[in-house]
Amino acid sequence: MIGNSYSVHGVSIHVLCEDQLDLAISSYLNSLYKGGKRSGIKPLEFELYIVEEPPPVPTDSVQAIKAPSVTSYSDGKEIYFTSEDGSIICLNPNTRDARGFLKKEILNDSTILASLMGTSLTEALKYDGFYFLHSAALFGNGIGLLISGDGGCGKTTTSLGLVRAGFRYVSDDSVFFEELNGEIVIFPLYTSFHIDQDLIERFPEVAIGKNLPISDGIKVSVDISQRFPGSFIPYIRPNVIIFPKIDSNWESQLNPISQMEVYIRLLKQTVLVSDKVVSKNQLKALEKLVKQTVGFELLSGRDIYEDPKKVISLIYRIKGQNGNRDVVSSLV
Amino acid sequence: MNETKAYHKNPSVVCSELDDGAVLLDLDSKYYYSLNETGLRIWQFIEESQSPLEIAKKLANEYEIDVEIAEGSVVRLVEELKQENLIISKKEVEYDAREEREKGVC
Repeated sequence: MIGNSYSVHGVSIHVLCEDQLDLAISSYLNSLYKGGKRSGIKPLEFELYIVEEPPPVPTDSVQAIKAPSVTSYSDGKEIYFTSEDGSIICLNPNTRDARGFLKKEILNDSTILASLMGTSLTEALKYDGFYFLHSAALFGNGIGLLISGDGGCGKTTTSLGLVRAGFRYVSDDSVFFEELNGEIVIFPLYTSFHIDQDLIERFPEVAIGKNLPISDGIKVSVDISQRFPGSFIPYIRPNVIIFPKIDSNWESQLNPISQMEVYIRLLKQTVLVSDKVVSKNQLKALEKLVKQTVGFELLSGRDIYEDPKKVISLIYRIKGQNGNRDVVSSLV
Repeated sequence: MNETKAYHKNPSVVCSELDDGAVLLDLDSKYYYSLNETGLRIWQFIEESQSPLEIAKKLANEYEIDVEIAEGSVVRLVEELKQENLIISKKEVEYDAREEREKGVC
């Protein structure tokens, strides 16, 4: 067994794992944002084993969350995360211990291991008040911008375009929201962008060291701060949220949406835990995030691909329209 | 016939109050429900009122409408909230608590 220590968002993670797992685990955990050291938070302890037959989920557990690659169950005390291949991680969020029994085949597919580790880790961090949100986060022109939505809606494309235009980024896909001094602040989970061949063709300057064509359906991790020095920032205070939707028209449209619509859309991009007290805290933070921001649906036309900064000019154009003065006055 | 029961909010339901109403989320089922501004006001009155009629009177006073019209809206919403288990009759809550106490004694 090999023991190693990591830091994720300032929380210490101690991992004791079998030798053959070490490379995959360290490669995954080192890809996450380390953050500054946080005092008063007990480290998370992971023990990970390779086994022929992982133990089953206890029969008195009930399904808590069903995600595409990981399903979680809870018996009220422990949370069980299972992947499609049968591997399992059992987390006790109160003692902060996790034990994983993984099948050998998981070593052949880093995405399954990343999903299993990532889901259990982000679940544990919710008990510290750090809540996962599927969103890109950027800052520029006085705007702390979140771009949220399902995979394929254009988060990375819009983010890359804005970084190219001088914006600074927190993440292109996965962030934590946290209440800090009465405000909601956004921190990265990953700092690298996840880019496919289509994006490399559109933004060839980010393809540092990625000269080979990337296969269909594969995304590679790229540290774009190497190409755009100084473009990474560790946090933002968001004041605008955009939900992009790809549209076949040339001209993009930005339509204000109500707080309720923003809340419901964000609810779909965060994951509630089985513990009700933690979930209530998470929902309070989400409500605060909604009230701190103004929300828009972006009908993303082809003009955005030519000029991603169009998003910003659209936000400021709305400022001048009747009935929206109050909505956007907080931006300027 | 006037509805005379009083209700408690289900403690597993979280209400997030927003500019244009509220979202109720049931942490047991993970279903969410949206309330408009009037619905939110009814939700806010539920705990402090002894019956839907009492809620209707408060609503009528606040919105300057007939009590009968307000009562229709309140009864409809209360019925929906009850069906979705977002509110529980106070008698049922008392009964459950008594049953729990009796189980404890045994």
